[in-house]
Amino acid sequence: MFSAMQVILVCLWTWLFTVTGSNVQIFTYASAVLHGMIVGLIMGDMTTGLTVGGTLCLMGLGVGGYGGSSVPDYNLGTIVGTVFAIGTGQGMEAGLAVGVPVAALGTEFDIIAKMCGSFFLHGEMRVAARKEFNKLGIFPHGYNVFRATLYTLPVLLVMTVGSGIITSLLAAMPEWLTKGLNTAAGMLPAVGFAILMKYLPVREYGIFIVFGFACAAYLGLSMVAISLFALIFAFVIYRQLEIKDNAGSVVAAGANGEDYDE
Amino acid sequence: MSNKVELTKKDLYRCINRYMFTRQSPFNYETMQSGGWVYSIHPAMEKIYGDDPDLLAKKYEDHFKFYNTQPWFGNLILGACIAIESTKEPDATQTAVDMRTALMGPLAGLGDAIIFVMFATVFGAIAAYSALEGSIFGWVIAQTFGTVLWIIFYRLFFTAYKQGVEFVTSRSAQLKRLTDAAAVLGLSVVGALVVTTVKVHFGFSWTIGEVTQNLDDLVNSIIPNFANVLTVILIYFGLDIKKMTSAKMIIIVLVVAIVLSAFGILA
Repeated sequence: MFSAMQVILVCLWTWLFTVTGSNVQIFTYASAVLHGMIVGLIMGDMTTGLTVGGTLCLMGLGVGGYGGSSVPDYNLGTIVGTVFAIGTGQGMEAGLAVGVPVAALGTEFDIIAKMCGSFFLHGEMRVAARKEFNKLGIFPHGYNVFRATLYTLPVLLVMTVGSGIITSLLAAMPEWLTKGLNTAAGMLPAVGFAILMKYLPVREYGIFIVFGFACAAYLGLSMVAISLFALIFAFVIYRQLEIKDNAGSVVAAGANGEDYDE
Repeated sequence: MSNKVELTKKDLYRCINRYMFTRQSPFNYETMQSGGWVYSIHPAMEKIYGDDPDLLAKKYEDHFKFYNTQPWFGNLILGACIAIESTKEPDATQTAVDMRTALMGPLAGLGDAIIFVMFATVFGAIAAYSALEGSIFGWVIAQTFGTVLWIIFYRLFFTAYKQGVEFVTSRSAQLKRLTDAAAVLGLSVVGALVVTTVKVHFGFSWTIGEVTQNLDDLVNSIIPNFANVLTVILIYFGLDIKKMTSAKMIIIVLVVAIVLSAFGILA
């Protein structure tokens, strides 16, 4: 179903992205969209690629592997989802049906890679103890190659020996499952936003959730417009805190009897 | 009398360039990011302690200890630590590793909040909506911003080296203010995204006489996007359940969505 060229290019892209991805991190923002775009181009339909990438990007907003935790990999999901969305001609439906499970499976790949990381670390520690310092690099770079290969293997498998099985599974997919996945696609972003709220100072600034909600629900403003309004509030709050901090340091200096007349 | 070793621009570039490719490699559950760290500081350490490999091997035992932070802010810690090591004081390594441990937690919190949470959400949403309309324009905006920020953090490694630990600590008040300001932006965007991105609708409807009443329309007339709000609130408190992780929550939501839609409770 896929041409050899497509298989090679998609695998190569996956490998190249993963070998540097978690370290260089230059493609940090909206990387699922980037994957949809590139894989879409390889498969010959960038618009479908962007649709799959955009949808999975929204699902993954706020979901991040903070503090070494493992979370679904929407990049991997987008790559495989886009391949089947275009390859089967079923579009978004197939993209979701394949992309979401693959993204969820990505959690396991991350855990496997990090478990194998110990092996590489101990190797590096051994050469350091033996004072063979020029060999230190083998292990971090070796880990990068290992991790990239681990992530590329499933892509290679589903595009070659697994493509028939997945295509027939997609064809035989019951309607309730297709409908359910669509519902899930609408529901999953909520997880990201709930996680975000756990990371943000909701106690102090929670009212701004209401601000954003009201702007979107009642005024129907666009995301850029709401960001700009929020930027004004952010600026005012920054200035207020600055004034407060400076006043605090002046008082502290005065209390110590120091000359604060600079 | 000072033993200070002057590191050249080239030494520093070798360190930061190594770090770019190994910030999280080999990531493991024992010491997390320390493997890539040792490899990255080596060009500087070799210059400082190169004449005594035994001492260097001993110092690496300390540097191999647990280390984990937000990678971008890790650039600053790396710069400050190399500055400390370059003094060649007898307790330089101890000081450097202690400082590294003291900074990694706060900077990880700050970095995750700003780099990964706030900006990733704002720019991710802009890029995704643009992509759904078939345009890459949003992604170009996000990528341009990300690249500029990335270069700034790359440069900050050199600033942190020149100004040492004082730089990192003296800027903490400013960074705290910036985090608060960014939180305002982030929370506003989250509020808006609950409306636009989450799409949960009740499938219930009933007929009284001639009139068919839909549950979704009914609740939305009281609070717009009521089902979205309810979903986010339920998940928010659900995340507090013991042993709950975000990965588990995603699987739960996936299953719940499919089951509820199969029974027609959600549309």
